[in-house]
Amino acid sequence: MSLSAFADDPTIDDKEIIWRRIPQLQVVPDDNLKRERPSSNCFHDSTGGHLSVYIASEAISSQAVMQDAKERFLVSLSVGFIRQLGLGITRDSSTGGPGHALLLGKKRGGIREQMAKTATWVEPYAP
Amino acid sequence: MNVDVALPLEGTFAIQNKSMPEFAGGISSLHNSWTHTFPYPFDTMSLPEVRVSVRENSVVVALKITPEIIYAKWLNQTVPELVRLLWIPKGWNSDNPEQINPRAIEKILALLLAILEPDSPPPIVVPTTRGGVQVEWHQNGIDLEIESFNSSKVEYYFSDSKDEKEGTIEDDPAILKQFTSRLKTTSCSPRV
Repeated sequence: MSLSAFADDPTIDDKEIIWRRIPQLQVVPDDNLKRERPSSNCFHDSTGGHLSVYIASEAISSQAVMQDAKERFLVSLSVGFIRQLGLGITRDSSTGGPGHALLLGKKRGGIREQMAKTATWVEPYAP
Repeated sequence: MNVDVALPLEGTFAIQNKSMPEFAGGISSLHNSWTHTFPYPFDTMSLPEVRVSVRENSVVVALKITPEIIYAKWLNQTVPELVRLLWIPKGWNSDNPEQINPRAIEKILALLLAILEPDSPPPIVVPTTRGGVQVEWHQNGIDLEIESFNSSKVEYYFSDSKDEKEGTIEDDPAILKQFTSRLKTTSCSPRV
């Protein structure tokens, strides 16, 4: 199904938390923030034109999301913040299992950077 | 870059442990035999400014550079980090990315040689899902990111307390030099 068939799902509340898996190779030191954070490239659309995330309240657990994943780390963002950036979200459990969702909309450099700076590490999947 | 004063430089980067189950191991997992060989055994005028040749267990990087850049901290730190990316296997994250393209390494290294000064701080090097490489600095209130994902296209993002700019360049790196000149010589913290 093409992404044009998707629209922001209003049944997903702004207060919901989403998780994004982060590869170890894309964790960077940020001297401005005085901490490590994901590179903005972690929030680039995949070749399929979407950004894969999990809705925390609908996933089985963070352990299930990370099981057999190639990534080592996990970060969280709120759906409200995603919408403030002009992005949308839609459920997609058919491809990624329970809680899987896609972030919709063009993620230009500034948007990716804001997501990377705002993302919070999810324990125990933090550097 | 003035070819008349350029010097050839070649380094061979051989892998110590070919299996490398963890590609986050850093440059310590590479045997770095980077050497400055003078004079070069063939016509320097025929060399490209940057050449990356991938072999079975090694990568050869040949540069044509100005003398003052040879011992630049950023060059000697960044080249091994870029080479390391070439051993990352296809499908290294859940988005199933392509293997890193050596031409993207050549492109970003040529660009860095064009825009950085000898005392510029080293960038952070990150592989990208599009099979390219992103170099980035986050210091002195500046965020600067430059991504090369094929041999011809480069995307950038810059922000500080006053400006936010992003775009694509194909040939003229002048705008990026404006940004990198605003980075001070303090280096980023080493990656843990």
